Amino acid sequence: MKKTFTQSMAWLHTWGGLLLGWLLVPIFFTGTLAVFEPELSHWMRPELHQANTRVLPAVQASTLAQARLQAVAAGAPGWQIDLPDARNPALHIGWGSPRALQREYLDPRTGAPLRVRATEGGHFFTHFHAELDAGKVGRALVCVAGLVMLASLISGIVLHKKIFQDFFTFRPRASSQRAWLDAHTVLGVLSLPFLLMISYSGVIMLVDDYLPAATTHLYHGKSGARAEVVKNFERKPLGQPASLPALAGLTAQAEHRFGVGMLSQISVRAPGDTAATVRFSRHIHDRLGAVADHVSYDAASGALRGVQTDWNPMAYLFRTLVGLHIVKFGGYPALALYFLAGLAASALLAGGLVLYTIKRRKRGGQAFGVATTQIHALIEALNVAAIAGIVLASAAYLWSNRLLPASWEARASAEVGGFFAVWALSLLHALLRPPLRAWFEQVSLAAALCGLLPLLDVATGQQSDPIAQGVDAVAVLLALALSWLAWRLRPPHAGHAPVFLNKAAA
Amino acid sequence: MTLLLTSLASLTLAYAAMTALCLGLPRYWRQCVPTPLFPHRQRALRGLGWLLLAGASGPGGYTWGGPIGLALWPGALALAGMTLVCVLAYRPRWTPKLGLGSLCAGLLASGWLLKG
Repeated sequence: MKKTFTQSMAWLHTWGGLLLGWLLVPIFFTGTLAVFEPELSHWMRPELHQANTRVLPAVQASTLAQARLQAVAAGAPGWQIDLPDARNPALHIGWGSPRALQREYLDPRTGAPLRVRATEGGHFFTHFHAELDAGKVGRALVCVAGLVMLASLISGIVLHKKIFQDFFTFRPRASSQRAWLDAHTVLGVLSLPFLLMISYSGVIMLVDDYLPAATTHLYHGKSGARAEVVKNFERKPLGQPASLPALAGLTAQAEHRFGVGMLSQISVRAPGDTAATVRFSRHIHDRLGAVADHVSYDAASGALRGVQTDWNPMAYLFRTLVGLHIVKFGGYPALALYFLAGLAASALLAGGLVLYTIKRRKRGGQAFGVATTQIHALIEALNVAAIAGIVLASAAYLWSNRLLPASWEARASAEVGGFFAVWALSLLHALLRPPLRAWFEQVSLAAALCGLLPLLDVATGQQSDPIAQGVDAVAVLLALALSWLAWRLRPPHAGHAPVFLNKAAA
Repeated sequence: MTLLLTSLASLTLAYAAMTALCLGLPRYWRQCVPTPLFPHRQRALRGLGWLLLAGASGPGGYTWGGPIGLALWPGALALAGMTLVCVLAYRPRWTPKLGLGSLCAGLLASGWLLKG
């Protein structure tokens, strides 16, 4: 234990921040991208762009989807129809058992199936953000990172002390350590509500992974909690074949109940049975709580089987935290705000990592005994890979989506492979190059990859649409920010001193 | 259009609030304005700042309802604060004028939003 409270807080902030910072920057950056998951998924499926002419109304969508499902999966145990909306303009259907759905995209104009390239789309970013693509171990790591993030926020507040006096203080022209510390604290103070909210809700979302005892004890390890909260109005199949009446009538009825354009999904249980049940789920984009009200009908008679709009208060509270985290509300202003706040949080974490190396470089000394030089070089390299590398890897993921052959079957996993390969190369490059060179080269390359993304889109996409253009525009904005950063990091030849990362105190 | 007006109104009001609160602190006032900060002016700036800070939650609450408006309000304040920090660092003399302009824009946008 350290001598004083402040010293132990400083110790916690430094080491927790450094060791978990290498995870937290990638987690925050991919989480920031995940705000635009539907848009990125749409960008990564260029085959859908030409079909994006208008948002197909739910009644027509249900008719088109039913025609296709009747043809390919009349006897399947279940159907699912994801209705088009402004952010997901394609008509996405699935059939089979709920856990292993076979999926297909339909042209919203004709109902014909579209040949769409295999890709995980923007979901990969969400998936990586939540479990680092490493299953249970990944979730545990993310969880530890989230808890350390919360602890670092609290210890950061304790260390900063002069929160209100220095509320707006940023001195970019002072020494680089001063400037980075100012940027780090200003970002932390100003986005503290967001940081606390996003870290706390993120940790709460993973509660089943680190506090499994309650559910194991009460529900014998099964997902009984969910079954108690979400009412199920399905009937058991009777085993008597029957043909399903048109879904359009029931869709209109459900839309009348929840509002026109408010349906997000239709699911049919046992569509080829006399006891078929149709369930309509409501959108969640006009409320904080990520709970989807739903209504179920008996398919054959059209009789109402049940409707759920009331929720268990504890479940609602939990889902409100989830809703705050996943931001489906508020439209593009809310998404933009979350995106910018996420970038600010990533910059805050990156600034913290950079500060560590600036301080040690200045202090010199033998913090790690005889191996100090090597360990500092390793820390520098890990910083480069965690910050510049994750941007590079994310950009490479989008590039590989367009460069790999569209009809190749293993392409989805190859895209993910591209992400990890580029990330590994970034670390290797950072280990081999002098630190300042590594920063400059990787940030420049990231700027180029982002800035050229629209050209790649035009060159390889069949036809652009507003959503894809939006993704391209954001990529260009990111490229501009990265170019500015690269320019500040440019190597010290051509008569100017290396300033950005190691300018001495003025 | 509603979403655009809502964003504009809440961001500009938040920016004006942050500017007023910031200029109410002597050390930042000195950076931006050549004349000394008189106590009555300081009180007025702080009062206005807190008022606008609360007011910045208005447009969001009006368009999306209380809960969503309240959830996005700190975000708008953070974004406004970061912009102000950059103005203070690179163009301190512009601070008062930008704040005033932002206040006018915020009131106009809010009025337009209310008019429908």
